[in-house]
Amino acid sequence: MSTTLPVPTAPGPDRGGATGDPSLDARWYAAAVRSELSDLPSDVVEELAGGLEADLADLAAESSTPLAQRLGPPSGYAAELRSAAGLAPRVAGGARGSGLWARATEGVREDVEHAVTHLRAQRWWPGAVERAVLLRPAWWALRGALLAWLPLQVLFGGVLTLGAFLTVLAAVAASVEVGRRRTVVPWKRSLVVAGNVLAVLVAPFALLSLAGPQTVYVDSGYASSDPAASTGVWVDGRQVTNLYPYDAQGRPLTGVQLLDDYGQPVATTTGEARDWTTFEGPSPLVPVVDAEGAVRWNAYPLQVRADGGGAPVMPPLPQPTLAPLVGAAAPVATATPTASPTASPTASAAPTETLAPAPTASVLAG
Amino acid sequence: MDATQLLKGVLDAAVLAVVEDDDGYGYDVVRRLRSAGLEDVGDASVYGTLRRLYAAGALSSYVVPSEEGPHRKYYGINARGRELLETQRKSWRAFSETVDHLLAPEGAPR
Repeated sequence: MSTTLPVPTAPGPDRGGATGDPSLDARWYAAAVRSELSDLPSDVVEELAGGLEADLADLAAESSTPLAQRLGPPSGYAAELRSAAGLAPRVAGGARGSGLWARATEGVREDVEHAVTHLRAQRWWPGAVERAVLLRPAWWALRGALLAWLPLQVLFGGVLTLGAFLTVLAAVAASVEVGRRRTVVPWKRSLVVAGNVLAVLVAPFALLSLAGPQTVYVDSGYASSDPAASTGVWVDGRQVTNLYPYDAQGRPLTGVQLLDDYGQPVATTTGEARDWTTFEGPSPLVPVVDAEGAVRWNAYPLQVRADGGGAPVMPPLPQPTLAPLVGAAAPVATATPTASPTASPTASAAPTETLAPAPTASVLAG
Repeated sequence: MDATQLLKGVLDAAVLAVVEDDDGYGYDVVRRLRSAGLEDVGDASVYGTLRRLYAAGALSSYVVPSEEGPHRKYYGINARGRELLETQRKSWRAFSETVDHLLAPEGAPR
């Protein structure tokens, strides 16, 4: 053996250049070769592939052509390495077992390998890999959060407590640590792969649960799944508690009684607390009583009783007046402060000919 | 004629000859072989040969840590390797003379 210790050759000038990181390409290729040798005892693998990273890095630094293009697929490289080292070629299925499953997956494995080799031969590939590697720690963190989110969601319905928050933080830290220490132990690697796959599968669900706040869920639940609670007037998925009619001239009306196309009164509420989702306790809305003594919840706007009781008052109008309608008929509702016997000039179209006059019916001064 | 097939038979001797004067790591050996004219030599074949010669006790090996990047594994020839190289030189000479003679055009003076 020569006693001179050669000076290690400096890496090429284009190392880590615009076309990507050659040492990264070398690491990938070396790892792929090692995995092709995985059926051999680990000390033999080390003997065969020890120093391979450095040798490949040198080769990679010489030119920007990806290694897979210059050396061929790692499987071929590994086979050549084996045969030159005087070892038997890899038995098909080898350490993976020779069962039906191994034979079935062998073809898929080869296809994937060819696809990857083809991808790696692309000019943009090293750059893409470089960027992906930069993003890797972000994935580790996200993976931890996703894997913690799953059991929290299943066990506690995803309620964000301090404990849940700390659990997620701990999982993120653990996941990053696992990512930092790249393990070579096969069963640990399988575990990491399984974790990655699970995190990818969980991701869309976690995203959906973040995007859809719970209130939307509650609203639709009330509207559809509980018919008893879906009485009232709903507009745009929200319950309406009061209505404000305006006449053709755009002036606010009071005491306007509304019926639907089944002839039923249109009531936003019937005074029960259940209808009144915005407030706790009894509804502050007050119905009117018609001349026959019937309580009418469908005369709008409904008046509001202040907190301490007392006389009900008109609620503030959403708009003082509206623009008059084009081609509106002569003012009809202004006739008398006490309502005329007919509620509408087009009485023929109304579901009921006339309604009993309500005592408070009047037209507010516009 | 397929040169790679010929190469296989002499790769051991070629690798030993290349590290005879100076130690080298894997890719270094590949480069020396190529610059000597064996351009078709495969990287993996050379690495495999180095490993096999090492396992056979014809080479010694040591690792040189690198400040940036992975460690390099250097190979150097030892006494056993020199013996082996000498044997292979002799048998190559005998073999090549025989083949030269065999392949020489008929009637041509040798």
